[in-house]
Amino acid sequence: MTSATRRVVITGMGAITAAGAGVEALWEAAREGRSGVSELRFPRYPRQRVSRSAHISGFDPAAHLSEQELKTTDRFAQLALVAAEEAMRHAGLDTQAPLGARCGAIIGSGIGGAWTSDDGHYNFYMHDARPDLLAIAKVMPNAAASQVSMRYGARGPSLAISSACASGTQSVGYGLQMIRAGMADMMLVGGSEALLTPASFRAWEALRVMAPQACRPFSDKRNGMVLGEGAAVLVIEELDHALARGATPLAEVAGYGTTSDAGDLLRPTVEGPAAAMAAALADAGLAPEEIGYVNAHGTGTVLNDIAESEALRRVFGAGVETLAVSSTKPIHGHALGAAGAIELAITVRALLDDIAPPTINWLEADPKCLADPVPNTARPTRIDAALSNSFAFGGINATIAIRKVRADGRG
Amino acid sequence: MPTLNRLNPYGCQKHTENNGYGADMELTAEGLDAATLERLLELVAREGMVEREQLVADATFEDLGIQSADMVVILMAIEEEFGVYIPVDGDLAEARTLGDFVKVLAARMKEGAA
Repeated sequence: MTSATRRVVITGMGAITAAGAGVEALWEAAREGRSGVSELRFPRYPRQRVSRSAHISGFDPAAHLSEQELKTTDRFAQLALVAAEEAMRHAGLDTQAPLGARCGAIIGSGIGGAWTSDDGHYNFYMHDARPDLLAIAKVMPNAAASQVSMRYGARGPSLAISSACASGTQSVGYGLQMIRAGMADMMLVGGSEALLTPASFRAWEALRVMAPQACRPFSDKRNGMVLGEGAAVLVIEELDHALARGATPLAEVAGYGTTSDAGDLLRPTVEGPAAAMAAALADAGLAPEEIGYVNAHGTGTVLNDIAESEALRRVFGAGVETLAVSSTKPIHGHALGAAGAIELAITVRALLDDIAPPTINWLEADPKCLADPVPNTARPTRIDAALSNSFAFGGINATIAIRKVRADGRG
Repeated sequence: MPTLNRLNPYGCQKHTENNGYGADMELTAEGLDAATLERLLELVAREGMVEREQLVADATFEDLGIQSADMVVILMAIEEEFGVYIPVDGDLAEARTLGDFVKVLAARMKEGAA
């Protein structure tokens, strides 16, 4: 297997979410159970039904981007650039020197430049206004990947993976496979989403899956998800490449599994997610009992949490009762195409610190869900390996498995 | 082991126990007058693309072939026609049959009117 010949490690991470700027702020919020959810009101949408979301307040793109970048980017690409800069610095890479042909970028997004579309359509229909001259290049879902590639001179493969809420996790997964396959030695992978526009919010309302008050995954009396926005980017590279340049591997990206339900458009199955988790474990060569933590998809909808609980029972058997599984979505919101990357960054920190972050807002057990999803308070627990799950509309399921590495990388 | 049904929107599971309605029993709902109920059922038939005659109390959404995407359309039509916003994860999550569904709607419409 190629997986045995080329191992891939994470050497840097960056994130910006409603839980704060930077992975440190994100991890602290996740660990302490501090939610970034607050009231969101749209001036252009007066008849709003739901008003809770995990939006990033006070983001000033001019503090992070060049003038040229400011002119040519939507909010989703701006957030990706902020996350990428942090990841580059964290990985000890020179942000001024081109990364070259052996480095690429995969930044997933469910939708792409939603704000540019929303503003452009609004001004076109309402005011017959001159269009944003660069609207197309801002809206395209690969804009974030291309902007990252351009800023850092990454001349290897660059693309966006667009698979709704699985985009971030699949971006990491296919980055892993590209490095294994020898297409690149290093990849900037992750996801970005900035979909909290009035019309998009209205479309989410139409699906009727948003919690009126609080998102409480796996809890009795849960009644929906809370939308978020943000970006996370990880530097992943072939192990020897990382060691040769003196980088510190944070964790190994050990396995990737993905499946499709090929069933209902919106409603999850048990079989698909279970098969994705089993495939990630098999790809990593890990047994279920070696997993110490699972960052669940855990949206907080009635159906996702029942289906995911049952899928976890199938994969982990009786061991699921003692396994630390939690959803951190009530902290940073469901960031859709960025969710998998944000949650993988949290999972890496959980693994490094041997702490399972909590599922907050949890009231009491739902007999149909996992009984003990690390409710409300973080739990110190040994984590040698972990999974991060993402399941998407369209029936796409994706799981990444990570594993601890020793300081010399030979773990 | 219980599995979620492929054709059953939003997990409304096929109801096999006695649900309080007889087979083919006429639908009624406390708080809804006959004319309003009929408007509601016609809406479900139209938006769900099923025959009005199939809409009996113990029909499940699976029986009717109504999928999750159809349910989104039905609930939006209800919002537009009756002015009530009904999330799928509230009381509706427990609704298994058309009878249960109508009961939840009746309660929410009553709240909305109050």
